[in-house]
Amino acid sequence: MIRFVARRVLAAIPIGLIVTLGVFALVFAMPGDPLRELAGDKPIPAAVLAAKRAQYHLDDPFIVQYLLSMKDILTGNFGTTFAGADIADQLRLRIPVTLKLTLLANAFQWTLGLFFGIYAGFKRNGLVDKSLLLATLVLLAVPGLVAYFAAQYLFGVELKWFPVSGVLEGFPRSYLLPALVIGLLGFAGLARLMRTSIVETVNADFVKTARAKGLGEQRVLWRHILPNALLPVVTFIGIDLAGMFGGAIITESIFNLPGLGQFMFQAIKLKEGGVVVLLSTLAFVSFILINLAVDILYGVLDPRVRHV
Amino acid sequence: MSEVQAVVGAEAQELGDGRTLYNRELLRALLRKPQFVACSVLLLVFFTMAAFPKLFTSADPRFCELTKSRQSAADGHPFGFDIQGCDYFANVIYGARPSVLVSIVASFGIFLLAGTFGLMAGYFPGAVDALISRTADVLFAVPGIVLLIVILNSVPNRSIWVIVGVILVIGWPAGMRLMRSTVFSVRNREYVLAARSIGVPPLRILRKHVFPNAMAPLLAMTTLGIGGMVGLEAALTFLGVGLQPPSISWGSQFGVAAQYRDTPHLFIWPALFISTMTISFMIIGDSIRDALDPKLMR
Amino acid sequence: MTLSLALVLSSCGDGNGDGSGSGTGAKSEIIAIAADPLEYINPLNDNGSPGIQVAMAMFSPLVTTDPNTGKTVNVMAESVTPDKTSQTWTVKLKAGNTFQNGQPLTAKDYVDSWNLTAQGSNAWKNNGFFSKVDGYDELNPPTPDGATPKPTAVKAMSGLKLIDDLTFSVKLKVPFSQFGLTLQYLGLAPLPEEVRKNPDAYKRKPIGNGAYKLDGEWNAGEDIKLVKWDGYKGPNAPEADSITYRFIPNADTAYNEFLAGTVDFVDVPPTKIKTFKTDAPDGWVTGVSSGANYLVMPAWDQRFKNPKLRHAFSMAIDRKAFADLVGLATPASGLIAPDMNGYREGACKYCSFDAAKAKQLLQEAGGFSGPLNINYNTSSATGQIFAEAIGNMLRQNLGLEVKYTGKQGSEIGELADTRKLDGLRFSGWGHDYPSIEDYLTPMFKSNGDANFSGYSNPALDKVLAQGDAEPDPEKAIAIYQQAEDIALEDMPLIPLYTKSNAYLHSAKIEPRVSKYVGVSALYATFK
Repeated sequence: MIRFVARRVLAAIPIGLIVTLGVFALVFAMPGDPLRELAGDKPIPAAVLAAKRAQYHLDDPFIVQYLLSMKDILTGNFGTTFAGADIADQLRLRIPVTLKLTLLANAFQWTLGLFFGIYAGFKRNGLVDKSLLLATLVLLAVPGLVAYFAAQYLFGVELKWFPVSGVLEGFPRSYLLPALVIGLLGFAGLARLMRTSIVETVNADFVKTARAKGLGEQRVLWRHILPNALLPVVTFIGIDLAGMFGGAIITESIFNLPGLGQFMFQAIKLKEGGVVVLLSTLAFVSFILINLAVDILYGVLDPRVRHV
Repeated sequence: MSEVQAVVGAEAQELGDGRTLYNRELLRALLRKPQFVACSVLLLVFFTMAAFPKLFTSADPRFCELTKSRQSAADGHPFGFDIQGCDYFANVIYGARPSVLVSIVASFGIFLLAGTFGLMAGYFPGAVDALISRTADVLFAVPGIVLLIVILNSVPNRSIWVIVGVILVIGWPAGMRLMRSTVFSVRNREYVLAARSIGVPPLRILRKHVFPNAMAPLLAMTTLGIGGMVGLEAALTFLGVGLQPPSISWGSQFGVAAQYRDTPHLFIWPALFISTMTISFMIIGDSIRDALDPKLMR
Repeated sequence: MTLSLALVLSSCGDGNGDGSGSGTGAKSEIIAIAADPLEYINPLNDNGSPGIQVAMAMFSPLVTTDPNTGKTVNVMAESVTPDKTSQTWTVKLKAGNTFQNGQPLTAKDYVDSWNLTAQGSNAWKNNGFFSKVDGYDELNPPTPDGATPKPTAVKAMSGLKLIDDLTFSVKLKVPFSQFGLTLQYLGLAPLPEEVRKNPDAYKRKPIGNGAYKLDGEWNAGEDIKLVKWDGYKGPNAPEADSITYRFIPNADTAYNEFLAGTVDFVDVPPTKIKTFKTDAPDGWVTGVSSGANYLVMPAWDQRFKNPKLRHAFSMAIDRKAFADLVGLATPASGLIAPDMNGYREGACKYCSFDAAKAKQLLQEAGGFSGPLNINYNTSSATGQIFAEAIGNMLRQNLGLEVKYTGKQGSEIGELADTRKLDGLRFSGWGHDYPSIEDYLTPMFKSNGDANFSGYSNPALDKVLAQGDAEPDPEKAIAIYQQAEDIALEDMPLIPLYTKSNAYLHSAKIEPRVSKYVGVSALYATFK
């Protein structure tokens, strides 16, 4: 087990290096002068620009800039953004926001997805099953952008059930609406997957064998059907969780949640290579950790997969 | 997009060691499904719209009178006028081409890329597999939307081909993994082993035996994912890196119109077209998947 | 696209306030700012509208514009007097004013704060303001490309002279009759000595000299909460007891927040210009913005060289329809904003829409070769829409082939500055001090700060210099108007529209609306 974890972590290091170098190179190659966006509304004298450039190492060659950024990340000495914000402060502020949003959204998604998926899987072709398939098709066909704008206007502005935006009302109230929308959009996929998986497992040979051996229905359900049916679902949840860290840009922008997505979007617009790389590294590390957790969970659910 | 891909990928993964059908059988099974036929007809309409917009409207989408900005439907202008005062019906019709192109070319491109790489990775374990899989790992580890924004901000001219290209770059790894795992289960089947034993060259084996028998799950995944592409294009416009005028597309129409709440016709029509096309593709994808897996029917 | 609305300026139009608000005990208001949260408060190192807006509450300027008369009146200054040539200006401060830390406000605070800002190696954003002052160049020696500017040995501008505790004088490089007006810019605020010694330590706990101070701590990403500072002795104290500035980066979201009733005051974003009157029928005000918007012709592209071609472009634009698209806008008929002293209705001879004449002018100019590229800012919600509208008119009325390029605003600006931008772009300008000169010098003088088009005409430069040296204000305006006429004839910028800003306010407050300084939430009255 330890060796398995160590091997995975070691394998991740070169990938991490390529990812950070690649992202930094892309941001570096973006046209335009990073300091201009920062300049505000008035032209800035050349001497002032040069001073700023030196302060953020923008006058160094690419590889030096990259190494300096990596040094900052590895030593935890993040410094400030071009606009003067303390990056460590920003992270302390923003990581909880993104985590709360992600976890709440996933809680909705899993509860709804697993419940409806399992129910529909067992009562296949029933009313619930049929309406679920239709509902999920519709949900998957609605562009996320439409759903966010519509939900904010309907439930925030018109009905006033939820705060329109921001995090002033704290957890969970401020996060409920965006999390519900993300959860609903994501639930469609999860429910369909769960349903398919249950159907396949119920008809599998080992379940038939278990029943033939005279095991009780409850035991068959809990010991044989569910663990096996959950396997692909676990994979999906892993991919989904890992992606959410970097993918909430649009949600955070529409609902004004000061999370990592907005930070990332800002940093890209300002061409702050260091910040983009730092956030990419964060996303990458969480991606690796979650995948690792998923693999370990896999082993628990399925004794055939053993990590040596 | 990644969401849909992930679902479908995981969903279709289960099919890997299930049945594989020959193309003719597959087609016959599909044609027996009324919803498949209906959706195919719808798609055919969209494709025709994209190829020959003049069949649907005689109005010039680029004839605009700003004084008519955002007016609602009038005689000869069933969808009213857009923000620039151009006939909206003509614009939505002409918007089909980039939308269909982006979704089809990107999806088909991903299918080809993912299929080829998956085939190679699955059939040649070792160096080839390692190279392809590690590259995929790298792309998986970077948030796709970040790559999209950065690259699209960098290119001098955001044509649909550039957008398609970037989607290809970030889109192929998911499909590759799926294909690779299906190939794993197919490569040791009797007919492949037999072909290998009588000395058929590997490329021919791949083309004639492995690919046809392993492509179905990927195909299902591709069709289910097509709709997401149009939605993605709308999101790009929202983020400021979408298609540039004079290109017209449903995604950019929606992205621009979403800000004008008071004239709903501006966003309802493109949203309706996007959703109809998306659902059609999804039902087709569903049908393919069901046809491959008779256990789910009945 | 530069639009400097440092003073959040706009002036009076019509208003419609709800009179039925019930009085509440404490007079407090929440003002939404559609921008990213501020990282620091330091008016000398901030030239963006959000930062200046907050600074206006916490810092008090030397002089300001009276909202009722439009005249310049003293605030911290007792008097501002030019010498005969308008080259040396003497500022005398009122006695008895202090900073919020209790220290008296002295002439030294101004001189030292300004010298600190003028020091190029500090990289403060309002550095450029002092380039008119004698001795500025010694603090900003030219640096070779890529080199780090070193702090200079000279720490003070020779033009700034301390006369006594409350008096200092400013010697300019050349005579400048409008200098007194420029002193109302908030970017010239004084910092107390403890802040000057270590500005970074006071990033989040500014010490001002204005009517409001921070209420408690202010941490990254939080609202800025201000309470009335009872030590403020200057004039013009607003009515509110406490003010909260809330930052909401997405303007549409900020608008929705207002509709949901969580903020008291919000700017109407461009996308809601057509609907705000029905969204908040009882609580909106508008004001003509003191800013103007233009289409920029690149001087570095020979294809745009012929003035006739520029006139043709200008006359092919239906400004009325375009202004309707913008919303709350007025078609432009000159280069300066309509509420400036010296504005002339119809100053522009080539700004009326006449497609036939435009076509004829284009022919006389020898036509236009190749596709015409129009650049637009992708960070702006309306950038693409406005570009298409202009493009459609040029395409349909002149028969040009038009293409579009969407880029970030900063990149467009950089390409233009390096003279590499292909084709047209949009620009806007709002004055920092209410003078016709603050439109003409920055945009049309050969070395102007905001010379977007790369335009240069020695004749115009000469007229501007004459205006700057004319001590009589009315005579100066007449001279500046000659410069405007030259610029309109050459037409490096095609005037498009001037725009009203709209704001929503809750029933609790009634924003101050002035035809000279626009709509102000800071100076709202409470019901």
